[in-house]
Amino acid sequence: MNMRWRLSWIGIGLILLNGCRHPLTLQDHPRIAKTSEKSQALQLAPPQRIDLYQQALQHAQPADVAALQQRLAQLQLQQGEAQLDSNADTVSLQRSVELTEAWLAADHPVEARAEMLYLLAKAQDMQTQHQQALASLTKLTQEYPHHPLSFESEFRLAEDFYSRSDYEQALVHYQRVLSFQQPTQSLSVNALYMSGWCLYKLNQYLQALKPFDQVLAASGTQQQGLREDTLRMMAVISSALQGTQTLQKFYGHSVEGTSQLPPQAVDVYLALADYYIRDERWLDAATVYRDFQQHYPTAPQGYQFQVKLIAFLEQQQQFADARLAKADFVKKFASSQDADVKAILSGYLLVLAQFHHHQAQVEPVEIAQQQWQQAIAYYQQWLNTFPQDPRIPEQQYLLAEAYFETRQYPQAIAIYVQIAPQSAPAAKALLASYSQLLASDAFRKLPLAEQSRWQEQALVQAQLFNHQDAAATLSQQALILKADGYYKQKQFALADGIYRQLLQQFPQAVDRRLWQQQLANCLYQQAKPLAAAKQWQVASDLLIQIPGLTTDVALAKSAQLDVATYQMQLMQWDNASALLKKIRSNYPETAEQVAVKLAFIYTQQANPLATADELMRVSQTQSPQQQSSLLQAAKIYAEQHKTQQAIMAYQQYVQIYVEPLDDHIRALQQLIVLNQGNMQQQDLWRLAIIRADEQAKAPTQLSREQAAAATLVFAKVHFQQFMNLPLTLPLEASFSRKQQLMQQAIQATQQVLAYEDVASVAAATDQMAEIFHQFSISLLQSPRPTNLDELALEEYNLLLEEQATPFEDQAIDWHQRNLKRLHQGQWNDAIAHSVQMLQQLVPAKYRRPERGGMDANISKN
Amino acid sequence: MRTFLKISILLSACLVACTQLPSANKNRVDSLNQQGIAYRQQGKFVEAEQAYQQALAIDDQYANAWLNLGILYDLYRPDAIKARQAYEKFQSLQATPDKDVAAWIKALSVAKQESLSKPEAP
Repeated sequence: MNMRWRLSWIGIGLILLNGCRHPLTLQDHPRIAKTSEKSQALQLAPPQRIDLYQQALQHAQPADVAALQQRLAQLQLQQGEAQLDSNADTVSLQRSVELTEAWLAADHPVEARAEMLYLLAKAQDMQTQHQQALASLTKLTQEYPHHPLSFESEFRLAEDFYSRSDYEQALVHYQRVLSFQQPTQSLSVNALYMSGWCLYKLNQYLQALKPFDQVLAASGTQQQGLREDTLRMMAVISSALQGTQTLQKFYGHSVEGTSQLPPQAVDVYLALADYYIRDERWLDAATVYRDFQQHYPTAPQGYQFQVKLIAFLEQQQQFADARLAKADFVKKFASSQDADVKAILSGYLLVLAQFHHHQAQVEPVEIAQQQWQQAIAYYQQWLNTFPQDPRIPEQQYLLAEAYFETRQYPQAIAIYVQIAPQSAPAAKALLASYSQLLASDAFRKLPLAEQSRWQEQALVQAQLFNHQDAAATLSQQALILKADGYYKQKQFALADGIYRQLLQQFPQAVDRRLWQQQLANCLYQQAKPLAAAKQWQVASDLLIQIPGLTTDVALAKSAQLDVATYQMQLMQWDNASALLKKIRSNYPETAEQVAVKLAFIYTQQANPLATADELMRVSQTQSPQQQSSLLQAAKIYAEQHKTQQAIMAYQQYVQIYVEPLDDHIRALQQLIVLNQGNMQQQDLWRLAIIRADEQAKAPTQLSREQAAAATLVFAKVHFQQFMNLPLTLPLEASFSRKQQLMQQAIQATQQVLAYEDVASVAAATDQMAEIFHQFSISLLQSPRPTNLDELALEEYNLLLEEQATPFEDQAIDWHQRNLKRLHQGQWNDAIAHSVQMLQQLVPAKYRRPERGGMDANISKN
Repeated sequence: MRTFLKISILLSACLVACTQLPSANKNRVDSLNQQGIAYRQQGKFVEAEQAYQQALAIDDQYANAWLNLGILYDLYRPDAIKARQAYEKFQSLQATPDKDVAAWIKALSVAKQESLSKPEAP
């Protein structure tokens, strides 16, 4: 570097000194001129002034020579300096050197000598006598080390060494500059700066940081260029070392040091990040932002790094990471009172809330709920943090929407109520919220008092906005809410009226079917208490409207069945039966109910066959009444002499139903009766009775009686067969056959006795007696052999009597058993017959003829 | 003397009137006796007993009712004592005891003795 330029630079540096009284500058002369002279000299051009001083010097007193010489040397320098560019006047400079050297050769005060040495160095430098100039400056610093011009001279020397890459010497002179007690002086700052550079050039990076940092600490805002250069150097040095770790080490390790963290440290970290970004070292840049916050978590400037990080991530189009960083910012700085931080916080909160709001609207339901919850949290935080913000209504609306979508209707309502008066959409949303709330499952689980409170609120709001807002949709919404409210409050007549109003006012509405359905429900609900109060006709008039309103098949069907029931109550039999037939045609699944009702109606109309037909229909369903209906139908058919239908019904009954056993037995009895004349069929049903009794887990008295009676019938057949066989000659053959039939009859009759049924056992006993008695008679009346003489015949007769007597005794014994039954209080035809037979067989003992008519004692008289 | 005869005739008439039942009562007793027989034939022995006893309440000299009551107790509602009492009452009302009834009374006595001589079942 040319010394001249270096000097010029220093001149600029001196000019930059602000408000500082520099003791002397190269331009700052002539102190020695008298005031009058000065005024005069100033009015002259430099050459004339030089001439003027030269003339003065020639005539000067000895005491003034030195001052005139000093002044003339200065003027010569000025002259030479002024013409330096044109290279036209090196004479003046040479003259200045000569004058100065001559002056210095004489004995002068110390202060003046230092100034003249400085002037000499300048003049020598301008004459490109650099070595001489440096020698002059060195002499000045050595001879007058504490003179103010030594400060500047040291700097000139340092600059010279630096320009010649002698950084160690340069550093020595810069340090001397700094040793002056003027730390805020421009030269000191520059000396610090250059010291940093020297250390840098000497590869002492870590040591270089200190002077650079001092530059930042000492420099003002007007030295922006210097600050920027310094920051850049610190960034370069840090990056060359270990980046943020180096800085952390330099500025302090611990959190405790945060409070003393010098302000410029923040700028250094930021400069390092910028350096990385310029060098496209993105991750390193992001690391700087994160590391600062991690190293100095309580540093008030920390937020700037998060903001920088977010901006950087967005610039890199890493939006997801940027959102996470914003969420992190919100978490870290939520409670900050710093205005700048709060402004940023506001923006981030809204952005995050709106992001999640949007995501909730576009994502599937299962994910959307989570998004809504996050949006709600951010909206709430924003509203709590910025209660004075003019955007509050807008954000409240969005928050309420989020509540609505997450079915938090009470919370949504609480917000909508606030903003509804100023916002038609909010009013509509309010009513919708009420509507949803009242329809929710959660609402139904609330205590009744709580439900009523909400319903009343909803009705009030609905009426309020219905009157204030003429918009059709709002009116519709309000009416719906009102109607639904009445419905929930079980005020069905009022709800009925509003649903009808809705259907009339909004003929094109999408929800018409829903309203019709609700109207149908209202009608049904209104009819119930009327029916309970036996106002059948009024209830019917309401219910009959339902099929035309509802698509709910079950409701329509139920309503029509109820109408039929009420008409039955009104004894409008024909109307009821016509309606029931229509219901059966439209809803086949009602067959059972309809048949039961129709059976009742036909009974009331004294139409037994139609009743029986309906009962048969009931019996074909899965009704609990199917069994009784079938039995009832069979009875009616039998009573009405519809024998075939009766047989069919009873047959069906006994095939399907075994229990109750008595009903089963009676049905079988009926089948025997109805099959009169068809012995074969009757015997089959008798066998069925016997089998039913045998197989029954708990035989009843009836089953025992009827089984015994049926068995007795079969026994009578055997008895009759036995009776019908006469004894013929040859006697052996017919006797054997007769005896065989007797055994069969006895066995069959004994089966009856086994039942121990009073009536049948007496009959069987009588029959047993008759078997033996008849056999005895048959023996006695059997044909006699024709070849017997009178004596043989008599013997034969005696023999027969002997043979017959035991059978007759058996007969008497069996009859006497019936007599015992008589004595036990029993009486029936069989017993009567036994008594009669005993009187005949044992007259001495049992023949006791009563006497009626004329009294016997009359005959005595 | 005429007066005595008149009184005697009147007393005789009174005696006859006192010893003979009016015809209405007679019909009633017959009817009850017939009713008793009918009840017995139907197996309604309690009703038969009541009918005979009603007849005897009207006329305890009505022998047939005693006989029929005896038969009822003898054969249909066994009570040997009552049967014998009734038979004996009947016999007492006969000019000549009925042989058949006498046999029945005897049979009842034999039956009683048989029943008394029979050891009781353990």
